[in-house]
Amino acid sequence: VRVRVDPGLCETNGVCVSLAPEVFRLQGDDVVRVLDDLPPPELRASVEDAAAGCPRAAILIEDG
Amino acid sequence: VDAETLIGLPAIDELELPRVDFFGPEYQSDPLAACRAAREQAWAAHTPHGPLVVTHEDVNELLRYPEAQMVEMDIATMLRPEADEELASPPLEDWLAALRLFMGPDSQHVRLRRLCSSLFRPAVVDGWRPAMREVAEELVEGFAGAGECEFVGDFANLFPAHVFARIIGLPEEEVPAFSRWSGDIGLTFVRPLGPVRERAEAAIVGLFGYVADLIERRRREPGDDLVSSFLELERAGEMSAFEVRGLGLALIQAGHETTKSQLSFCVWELTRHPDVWKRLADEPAIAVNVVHELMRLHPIIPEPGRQPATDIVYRGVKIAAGTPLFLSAAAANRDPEVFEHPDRFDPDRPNAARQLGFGAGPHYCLGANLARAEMAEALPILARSLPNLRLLEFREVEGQHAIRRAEALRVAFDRAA
Repeated sequence: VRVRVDPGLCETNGVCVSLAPEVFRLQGDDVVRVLDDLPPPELRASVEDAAAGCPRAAILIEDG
Repeated sequence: VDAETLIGLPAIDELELPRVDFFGPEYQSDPLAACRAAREQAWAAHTPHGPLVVTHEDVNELLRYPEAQMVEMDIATMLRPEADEELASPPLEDWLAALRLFMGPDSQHVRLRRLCSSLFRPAVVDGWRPAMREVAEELVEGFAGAGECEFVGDFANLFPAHVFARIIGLPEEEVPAFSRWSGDIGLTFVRPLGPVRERAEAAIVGLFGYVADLIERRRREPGDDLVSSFLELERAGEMSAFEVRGLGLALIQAGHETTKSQLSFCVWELTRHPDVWKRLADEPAIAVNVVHELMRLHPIIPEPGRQPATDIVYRGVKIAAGTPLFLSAAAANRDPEVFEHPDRFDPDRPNAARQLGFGAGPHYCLGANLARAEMAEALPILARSLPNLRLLEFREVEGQHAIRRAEALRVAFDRAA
């Protein structure tokens, strides 16, 4: 799967960083940074948690 | 949705759902048990005030509903007035009008939210962390040697007030004055209001007076602070005088009192977990997750409210425009579908951040980054300075709470080595 963050929706609330720190990072940016947009299968569950838990529904998970 | 889609669909009022009464004996004595019983049967319950949604999935989805189709519940509806005259007093009407700035038409909400959001970006909040630690150390020094304290008054009320005063540029010597009012203004959210009405109205009058005076002073002598920047926007025609005043009030209340109450509930829960208190002193890095886990168990806004702006179809059910929806974050936070052993406090819970104590969606707590940082900075300092913390007494304001309020938390502790 491919992970994307919609920059128009992201408010840098940082919930994803708590749920999947291997994949998301905040570094003084206005939009969260995706460290690994093709995360390995063992991170799939935590990435899905981050997408479901994003307060602004800004994280998109796409097949492929 | 167009009218044709709605034909033949059941309306939410017609659904067979369990019944819950916010003011009934079951809910009053144990709201979580009442919600759990409802959740075992369905995703929502009927209440005399509107549907109450009780599963994590549905609360999260409805909170995150697209902004154009869902607005925040009107504050008067959210307060579930048993009698309208409770709200019919000039100070209360003024206060509700100020709060409605953030709750009203969503175009206005989006515009005002954008004006304030730069205050709470993670990089900005990180810049305030040294100040948070300084304020916390100073306050705790005042009572650490005494062996006991009343935590709400001695720390929780003053800590966020001092931090917020620095952030929005209020003189430090004015903190004791305005924090007395802003720390009490949440009494307006208690139902029935009767027993606390006098204190609530005094807080409104006091805080309105303080903010009006502050605005006048900044008008005469603008500075490098939030109110001055609002006044600049007013001059440019981008904000009205009413918005400047209302935003000042709402920010002081939201920036102060919610953190005061949430931190008090957190420390109250921690008095039952001496091992975690000790760990917080030694491993401050766990504090962020601990804060999420504590907010999961004790969200101070237990049922954020929303109202569809248009007729919507949700789960194959028609929900008419304006239907008050009580979305139980408190029940969602104990949903076993998402949280294993939901009633257990687990400082290392891997998905604690899925708690809904800050809400979700377009009205997600604007100051969440700040509040989380404040609590995560304060807890390790408290744990280091107040070892072997023990509960003496905890009191909440009685009644039904749109926002829960810790009234007193007396604790004892040893002297730090």
